[in-house]
Amino acid sequence: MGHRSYVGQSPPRREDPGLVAGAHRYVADIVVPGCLDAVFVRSFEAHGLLNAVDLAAAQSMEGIVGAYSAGELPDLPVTPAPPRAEVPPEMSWPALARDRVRFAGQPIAVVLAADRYTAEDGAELVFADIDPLEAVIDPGPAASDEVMLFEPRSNVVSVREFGAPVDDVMDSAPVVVETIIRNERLCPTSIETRGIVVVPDGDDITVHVSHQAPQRLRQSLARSFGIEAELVRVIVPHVGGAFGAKSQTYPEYIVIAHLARKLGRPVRWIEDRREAFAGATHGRGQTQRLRLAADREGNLLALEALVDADIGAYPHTGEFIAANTGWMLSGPYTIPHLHVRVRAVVTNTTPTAAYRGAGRPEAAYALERALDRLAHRLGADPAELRLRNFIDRNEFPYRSPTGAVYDSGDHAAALRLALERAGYDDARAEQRRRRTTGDGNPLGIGIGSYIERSGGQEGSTEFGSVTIEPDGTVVARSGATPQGQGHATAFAQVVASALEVELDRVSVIQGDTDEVPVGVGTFGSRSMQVGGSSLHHAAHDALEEARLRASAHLEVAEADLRYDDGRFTVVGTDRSVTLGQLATERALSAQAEFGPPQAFPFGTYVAVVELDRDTGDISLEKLVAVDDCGIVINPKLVEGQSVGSIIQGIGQALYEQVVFDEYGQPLMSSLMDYSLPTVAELPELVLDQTVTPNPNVPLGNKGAGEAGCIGTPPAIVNAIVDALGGRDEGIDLPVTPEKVWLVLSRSD
Amino acid sequence: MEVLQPTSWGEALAAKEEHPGAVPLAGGTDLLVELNFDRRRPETIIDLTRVAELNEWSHVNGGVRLGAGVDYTRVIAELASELPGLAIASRTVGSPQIRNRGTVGGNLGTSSPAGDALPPLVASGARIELAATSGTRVVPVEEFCIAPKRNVLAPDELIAAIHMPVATGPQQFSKIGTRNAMVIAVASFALTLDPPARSVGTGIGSAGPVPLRATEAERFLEGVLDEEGLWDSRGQLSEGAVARFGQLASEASRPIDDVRGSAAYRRHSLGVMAGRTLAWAWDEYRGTL
Amino acid sequence: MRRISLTVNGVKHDAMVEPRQLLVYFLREQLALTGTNVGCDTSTCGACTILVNGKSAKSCTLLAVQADGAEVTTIEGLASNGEMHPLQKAFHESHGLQCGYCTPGMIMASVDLIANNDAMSDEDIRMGLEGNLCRCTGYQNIVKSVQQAAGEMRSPAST
Repeated sequence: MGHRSYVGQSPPRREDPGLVAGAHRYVADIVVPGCLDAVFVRSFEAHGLLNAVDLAAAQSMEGIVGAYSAGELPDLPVTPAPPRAEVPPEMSWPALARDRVRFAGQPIAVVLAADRYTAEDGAELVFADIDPLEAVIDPGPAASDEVMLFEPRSNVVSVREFGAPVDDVMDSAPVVVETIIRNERLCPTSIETRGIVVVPDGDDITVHVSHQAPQRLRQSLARSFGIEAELVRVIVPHVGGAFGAKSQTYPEYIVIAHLARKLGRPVRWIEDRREAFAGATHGRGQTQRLRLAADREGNLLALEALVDADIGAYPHTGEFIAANTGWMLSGPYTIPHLHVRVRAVVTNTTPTAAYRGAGRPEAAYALERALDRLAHRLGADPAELRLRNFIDRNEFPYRSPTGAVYDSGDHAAALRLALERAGYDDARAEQRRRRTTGDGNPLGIGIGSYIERSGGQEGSTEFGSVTIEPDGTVVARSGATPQGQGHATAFAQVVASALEVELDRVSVIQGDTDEVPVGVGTFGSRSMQVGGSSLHHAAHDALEEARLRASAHLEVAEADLRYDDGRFTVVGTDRSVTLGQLATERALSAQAEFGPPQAFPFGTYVAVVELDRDTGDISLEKLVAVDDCGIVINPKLVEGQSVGSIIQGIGQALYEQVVFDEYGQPLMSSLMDYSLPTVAELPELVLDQTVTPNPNVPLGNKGAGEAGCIGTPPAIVNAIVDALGGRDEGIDLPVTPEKVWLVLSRSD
Repeated sequence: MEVLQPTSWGEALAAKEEHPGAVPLAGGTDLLVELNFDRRRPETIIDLTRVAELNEWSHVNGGVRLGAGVDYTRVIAELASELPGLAIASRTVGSPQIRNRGTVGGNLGTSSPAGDALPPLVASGARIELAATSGTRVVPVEEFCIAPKRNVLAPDELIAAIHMPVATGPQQFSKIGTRNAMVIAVASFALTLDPPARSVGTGIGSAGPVPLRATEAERFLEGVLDEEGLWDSRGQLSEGAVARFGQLASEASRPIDDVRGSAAYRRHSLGVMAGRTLAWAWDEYRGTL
Repeated sequence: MRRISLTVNGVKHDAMVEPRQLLVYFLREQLALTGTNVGCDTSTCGACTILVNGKSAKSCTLLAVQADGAEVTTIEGLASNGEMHPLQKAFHESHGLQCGYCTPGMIMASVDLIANNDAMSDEDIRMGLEGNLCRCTGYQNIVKSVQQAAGEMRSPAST
């Protein structure tokens, strides 16, 4: 690295000036003349036979341009399955319900008008005749097929297994703890809802959409409509948060694109908040039965997990997310025998897909809760139990029993640092004092050690290109499209560092398939690890090409050239040539599609909680987060990711839960019902890190987007259970004061 | 939809008489949510925010006459010493933006049992002034709400004001919710001590079809304070008396199970809140705070 | 349709509006002031916070006709002479935003908060911003940003 390196620095974000001025554009801000507004009519039943959809009143209303159900749109494509999901064709997700509705909120019809208010009025006049059927909400009962969603096919869509049965180890193990854990459904809840504008032009369509993966969406739309991808341009403007829920091709997108093509007019749909709760995808939603075996010293012997993943009414991304849980379930520990069986089960609820963490928080929460149960059973200190079982730092790369290869790690170091920053020994002493004297409220200390998994599956690449312009500026293009993370700033740091040029000379282009036709997207904590590495390689290749040209131009050997700040100089002379000059006659550009192995960031979180003995109120006194994501490119951005993810983890631990009643009606429709953490829920946070470089990428970095929501829930819930003296009956996510009170009142 | 915007109280009442189905709009924090969610599509709305008379408060007969349109931010800023219980409750309403627009009159109009302003009104024996072109009547707050989201307002009536006595002693309010801010109460409790009258007032929110009074708890505490001469001695209240007060308050509630909390937890937490608000209020009365 | 007349960011506007139109949509669609975002339709998230006669309000809680005669300030009206408002600057410098969607509302709520609080304790900021949801930042840097701006706005140099 030359003298100009921006790695490890936190320059001010270049995204901000427009955002703080309200000048940047989100999808809903885009004005297209003549654009129609679409409003969807959604099923009010969770399960039923859709006999008829009466559109007559809506169609004849003044101002309504069109009203359609599936019957009016015979060639409407189905919702395309995501790349990795196993979706049996008979379970495909219609873009508008045909004959049957399978969740409350499923689109049944769509109404178009010149403005939203009129379209809403029209939608009021649509009448759907539905004969209700019994609904099944829980994946356990659903798996028994007493109520079927897709007769005669079983509700169990797939079964994935990792490892081999461990019954013999369990039978002979000195200690076995069992637990049933419910990882509740969560709503990703970006503050900007979904939105799409489709503008047709002959056979071409331009799609403005709030999305995480424009190139994928382009391919998916092209396939759905049977057209060349070149005819589809996807443009992602500023995105108001996504958290995994904006990486799919949704039924609404298919409908809007279909109508725009059919009518030859621009059509847009901007989701409202109630639709976002019922109609967009949820995350998590697993029931896990765990058995963890150990010897009397606390050495782990075997882990068994039977996971029922509630994937909602139609198999989609949720179908394979639960597999991530299985794949990750041995966490940072050496567990000789592991058996995980993951069943993906359909229910009459909103389909599930990724939500920040996507399978990993479910794994970490289950394992860390089981570990604390074991510590309690053994009378062992939970920190000691973890230290005893961590994979040793010298064992990397480490192949887990599921076949996952962990790149690097030093889990013990992270845990020790977290204990130190939490004042663990003092907190334990205070806890003992309170317990012996009976003074004060119950105090609990909880640990959550975790592994992340960043960078996606084997062979998952990202596109990056670097072009040097004749004026000496540099344009970087990446397929990783941001939703607020700060890609434009951090990618510029990578490219400027590789080229050893001033940061301001580098601009970054993303999110437009005309500019960046190839790419994958932003999810799975992959952007910097995969996309950043590709840009690094592209920049180096461009620089090497420049060096060749400089050598020819200056007629000296490459060894006689000195490169500094965008200029090659012949050593010992004042003869030189700049990068820009080398790009004047022929374009100077390089590109890369790098696909490094996945990485396994890790860390340990420690929570300290105090419980109100009378009300069960939970006070999160302190949360210590020690993360290791390898070399950090931009500390401020990484810290921002960490804190944001931690608060989402606090939401999962204490506040957030999607609830359906027995008929499958969602019991939350607004942000008053679904409790996102507010600023008043922000606890004292202590952030620290260890640095274990990623050996598989040039800059040594790993993903940093999801750690917080993985480590936080188990740390907090373990602390609550610790304060309750190990009693965890009924302490399910989210842990409310009422649940705590119930445990406290049982003991009184 | 039509929006009428009267600029005087007389105009407002005339409009309500002419459009008995019209929905009054004060801060809009409840009504506009219902409109936005399509739960309601009223033909006529009467926007009361321009009626100057509603936005004033004054001293009347030794009490406070609080115009129905005075927002929570002003209650907090201007009435913290006269109506401390209501001011404390007002601080827990929604968020600053909602407190800037939301009004006690609006909270009454909505008549949700979870309305944060209602328990302090019950605890202080507030009287609600209702008006129509034909005249004015005053009803005790406990008679105003008759069922969840239903009240005694006649089709031609509007809420003019809330009459409350000026505090003569400590007042407290406590609320339990699902998070620390912006919550719909799981349960709430308001307490008023009136030393000159030797009386105790209580109000229970979110634990019955309407805001409730814990009459037995009030009588019990008044008895203890009288018998032990504590009003005058300002002596310590026994732990047993505080606990019994909490228990009686808890027994006065009529909660249901819902997604925010069970009836059992509501009942229990009311007892805790009643005991705590009493302890705070009594400490304040004793001058030990 | 109703005729309204109001001042937005110092500019007087006369317009015809449907009585049921929310103020936020009037600002966004008729005046093309799209910096004010919509996040929830239920006056919860605070993304649409603006100032009405100097006080913060959620513009999805007001009908456009109710703003007749009012003085409205939106995020677009904060900067002066091309200079960022101290709050805009502080959010930028303290990394108080990620996706930026809640930011205009957060900043407008902070304007009211700083104007109406003499001290600026952590507690004041928490109470002042409790009506503004952010899903990205975890709030920590937002609190920092408001502290920074409050300090700057009150320092003698800025008065």
